[in-house]
Amino acid sequence: MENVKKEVFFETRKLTKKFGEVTAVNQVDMQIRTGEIRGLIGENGSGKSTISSMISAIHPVSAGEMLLHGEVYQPRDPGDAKAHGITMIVQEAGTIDGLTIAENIFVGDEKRFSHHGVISRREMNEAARAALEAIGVTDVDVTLPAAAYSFETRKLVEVAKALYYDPVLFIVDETTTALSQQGREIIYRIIHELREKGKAVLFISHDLEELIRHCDVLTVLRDGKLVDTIEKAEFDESRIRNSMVGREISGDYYRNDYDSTHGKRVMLCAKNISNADLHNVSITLHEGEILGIAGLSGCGMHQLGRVLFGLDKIREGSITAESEDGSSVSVKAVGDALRCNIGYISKDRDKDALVLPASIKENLVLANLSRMGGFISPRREREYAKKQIDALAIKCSSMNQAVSELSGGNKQKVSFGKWIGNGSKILIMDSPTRGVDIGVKTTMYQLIARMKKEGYAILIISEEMPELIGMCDEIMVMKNGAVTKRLKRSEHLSEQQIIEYMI
Amino acid sequence: MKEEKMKPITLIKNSRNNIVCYGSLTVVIVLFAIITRGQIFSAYNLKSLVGQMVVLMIISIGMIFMFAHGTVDIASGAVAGLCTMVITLVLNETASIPLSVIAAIVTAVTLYLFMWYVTAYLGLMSIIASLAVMFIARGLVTYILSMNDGRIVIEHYDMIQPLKSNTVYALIVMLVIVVVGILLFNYTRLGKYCKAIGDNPVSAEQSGARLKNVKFWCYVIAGCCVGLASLFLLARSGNVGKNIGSGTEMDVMVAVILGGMNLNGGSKSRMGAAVSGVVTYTLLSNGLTIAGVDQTYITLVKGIIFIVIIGMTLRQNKSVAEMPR
Amino acid sequence: MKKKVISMILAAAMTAVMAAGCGGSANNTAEGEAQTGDAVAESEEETEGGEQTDDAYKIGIVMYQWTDAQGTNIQNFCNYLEKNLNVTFEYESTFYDDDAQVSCVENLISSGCDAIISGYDTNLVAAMSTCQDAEVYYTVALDHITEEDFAGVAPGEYFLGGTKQFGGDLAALGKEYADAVADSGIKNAGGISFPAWAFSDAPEIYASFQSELTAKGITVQDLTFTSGMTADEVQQNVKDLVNQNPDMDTLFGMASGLDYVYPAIQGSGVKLIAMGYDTSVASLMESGALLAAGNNNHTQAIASCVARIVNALEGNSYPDAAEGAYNEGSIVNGVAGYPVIGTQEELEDYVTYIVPEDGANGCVTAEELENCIISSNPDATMADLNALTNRSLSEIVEARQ
Repeated sequence: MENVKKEVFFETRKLTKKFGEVTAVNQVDMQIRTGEIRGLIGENGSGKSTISSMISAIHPVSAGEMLLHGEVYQPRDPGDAKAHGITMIVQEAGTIDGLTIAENIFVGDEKRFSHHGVISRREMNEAARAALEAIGVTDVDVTLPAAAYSFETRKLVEVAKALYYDPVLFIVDETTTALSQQGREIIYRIIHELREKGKAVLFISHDLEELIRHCDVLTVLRDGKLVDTIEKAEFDESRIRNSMVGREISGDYYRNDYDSTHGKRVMLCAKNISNADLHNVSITLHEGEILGIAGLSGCGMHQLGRVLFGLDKIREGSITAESEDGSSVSVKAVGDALRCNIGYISKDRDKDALVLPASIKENLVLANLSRMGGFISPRREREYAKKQIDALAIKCSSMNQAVSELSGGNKQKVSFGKWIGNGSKILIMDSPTRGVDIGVKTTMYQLIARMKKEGYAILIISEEMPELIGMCDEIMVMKNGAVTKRLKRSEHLSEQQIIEYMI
Repeated sequence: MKEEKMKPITLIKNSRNNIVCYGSLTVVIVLFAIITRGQIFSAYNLKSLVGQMVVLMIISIGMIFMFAHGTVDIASGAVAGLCTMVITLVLNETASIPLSVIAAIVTAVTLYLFMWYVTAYLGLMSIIASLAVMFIARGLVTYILSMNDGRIVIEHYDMIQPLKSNTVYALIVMLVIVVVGILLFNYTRLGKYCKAIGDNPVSAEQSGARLKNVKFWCYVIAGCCVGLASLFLLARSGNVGKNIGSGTEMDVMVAVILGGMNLNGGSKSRMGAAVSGVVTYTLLSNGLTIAGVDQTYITLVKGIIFIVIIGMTLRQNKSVAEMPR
Repeated sequence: MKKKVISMILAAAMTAVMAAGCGGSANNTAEGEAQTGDAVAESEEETEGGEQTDDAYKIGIVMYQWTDAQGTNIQNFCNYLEKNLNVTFEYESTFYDDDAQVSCVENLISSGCDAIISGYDTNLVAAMSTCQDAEVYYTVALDHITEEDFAGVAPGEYFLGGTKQFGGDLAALGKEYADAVADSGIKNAGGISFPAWAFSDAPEIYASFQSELTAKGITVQDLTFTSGMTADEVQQNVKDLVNQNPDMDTLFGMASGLDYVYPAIQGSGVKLIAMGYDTSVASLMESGALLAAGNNNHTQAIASCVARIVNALEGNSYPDAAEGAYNEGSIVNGVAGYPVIGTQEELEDYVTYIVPEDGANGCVTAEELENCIISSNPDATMADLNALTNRSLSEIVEARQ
């Protein structure tokens, strides 16, 4: 690795991007060297993705310039960027469901297999297989439609597609957040291989630990400006955090107490529930308790959250909760869950939890409609929304702003606000801090800790081990749809102990 | 930090729908007031306008509930046609207006609930279901007419004629429907769930909306509106011919689009789109004739005005479309 | 994906609706030319100022559409009348949407019309009650009206009746067609018409045509009815008819002969006798594919309505109105002829006098019409009007020369 000569091959000079009145990227000078994994970090809205979008020609540059191998680089479109050896994978789905895996890999470039106007499918499939093998994926049938595979596999298909063109600069834009541990490992291996070959990787992520572990250099952005560039030797978590946020982060990140006591009252109780994804799972959630669920993405923990909220059916067992009037209710549908003051924050914030085109107010009120009576006065709606916006410090221009325009963290605050505001006492949170920056994360953790004190019963389903260890009174580890271990809160609990029961 | 700068944009953005909604109406009113030298405001013409818009208005109010939750219904014209036939047959039999209106509403609601059932339980796309109902209703009208020499005559036309001649009835019914529509759509759970489902059914369901239940009531409302509107349609037609009500579904769509409605539904849906759109659309036909535009290119002129109005809508959308990722 | 499917279905539905609405039109190029001529005429008229006064009678005309040959023909005549009679016209179209009839009538009343001429009896009862309420006269130009059409409702004093078509004599029309083709050497003729409920006069016209030719030793088969009203259905029926009757050498196309029937027999060797007229008649007759054609005389129909309207607006009525030859019970009907074209000469006359661009050369002049208006001629009678608007092609030629 040291024998590869590191030299600057890509450069931005006073790179600027404006969206109307808003300056998303402000005069950024950045240099990327060959054989380097460059991390790009910053809070939501700091301009990370905008920079990568300009490099890969998704957005045009407003001002400034980019240089590739010392020459001015002005890509017309993503295809042109690809021709220059720059490819990117993003967080959102980039495959087309109806096309086969092979077609997806070569979409837009079918000419490559054309003989006198006829495309040779056999050749295309061969090439697709080779492209996947090159990244170590062998168990995918390239003739099946993309829809037949999981999100994770499709992501790997995108990686294969991006690498097929032998890029000199490979951009990974917040892709790992959406992947499970196994998926991430594959990406890590690939970027290290690229680095060995003397290529460069621009790695964008929210996960500080991941960046520290894999990057050679970290560039920190804040409000569209480049605030710091740190070499591996100088990596220091608190320095990076502070320069991201622009101030000393005060208070504790996670809970600082190791008091795992909670109220006696049982708020939610599931006994021996089973269905296609779950096997004989039992859960008891008490007043003032934070219960964590750990596991790999396919272990059934996300389904458990859905089942407890009445979204999915169970075949055996029972789920009971206490309704508003004190009677015991069997939770079979969302309506039952709402009557028992259960709230559910879905894993997929944009797709499931929020109505993106609707306003903040409309989103906040939505979960409370059944409690607002026959005639819903606009004044009550406004008061209700204002209360939540103030309580959660949601950053917005007005309560009528569309949720789609908010940053990830503020979106998440809205989906928290929906359930806190409507008087829910039991909160099921599936991956509550996914894709949220450190500033908001801190607020969320502080909020969850405060809610525990106020007697809320909280269930956190998460793939992020430190978060579970830091926040939960008890962690249930799941594997293949069953609970394999219950671990009490302790100072000595480590990730290794949990992972042991996950795989 | 950026909030202050964004304010003017936000202001336009937030009121964008209202601008489009009432902007096109204002444009059309001012345009025709000038070129007809105020003739469109004559007492007679105002009365005529009420009569001309009542059918479209009632149906459009009902259709907003459908469009808002993401259903594009193309059966309304055919169902209204069938309902006029039901009214005629019942009226000829019983000479009772209440009975015949109830029969029409029951017919329309039944057909709409059939659509609902097919969509909700058999998982068919709603537009296919409404296409099927359109053919059923149109087919029934044609079949019954073919057994009656191509035309069914109302024996008691004098009973429903006042609905056409006396504008007060049309005005009162229209006002009541508009007010009820606005109340239901803007100030109740039903309307709010309806909009949320149009944008994101998954989120709406997770927030407590029972999808089938909400849609059920939307279809019932739409059916009631179509049934009621058919009474006025019949009063204005005088008899039941094979073309009765045809094209109404397209008129409804054009009208609500003119009113600034997005046919994909969702939170941007406005009841005002129906009100302003129907008035705009009616004024457009009425004003062009009064202005004496040559019939040979009246359709062309209509098309151009339509494109201009839609163009205004699109441009306003675009000014805020590009936002940072 | 779902949105795409929806939009495609929508597009298909819209196309279908439009296609249905436009089914009737033909000959767009010819009309286009005529239209340009029109526009020029109009602008000239405006600069002249003409003899129009503010108190001219304003008459509204409602048709299904104005972009066809019929619309052009009527507008040419109306432009002529505007210059030579104290009337102005306003036009409105229902675009084949029957529900729009009342709205069209209302719009015309709003624009200040004193009377309205409707092409057909669309929504007669509702349209009439609208006119009655607004005290505006109403006539039907291209159809005759019976008491039954009003279904027991009193037509009221503002109804000025309908207009009998085919010269008011169906048998004579059948004979005229028979005479036009009798000497062309045909041996075996058939006939096709829309179903009787859609074209109730067809059987009577055909019966006369049939007996007339049979008497001359020509085989004439019984009339066949189409299974529907669309071009496709008619053409399928025509093809079946031709295939089943190999001996048939001529077909009397009563179901839109030129637009619908001709395409189906083209190339089969079967000759056409058409009800209908368009600009293709000249070349088809020359080639021998078309033996005879004919059409309603729209000028006469409008003239008849205009005379009755002007009289009514001036508070006059014909002494013999109640005894009109074409009346139906208490309902007064006017009449309009149906010129039949059997020879090149007749075709030339038709083009010159029946569908002229300038109404001054047409089959009814302003002078002739004024002669039937009581304020200009106190002795005018309904019989005079009916005689004027029921002249045959040869009579018109004679009058013009």
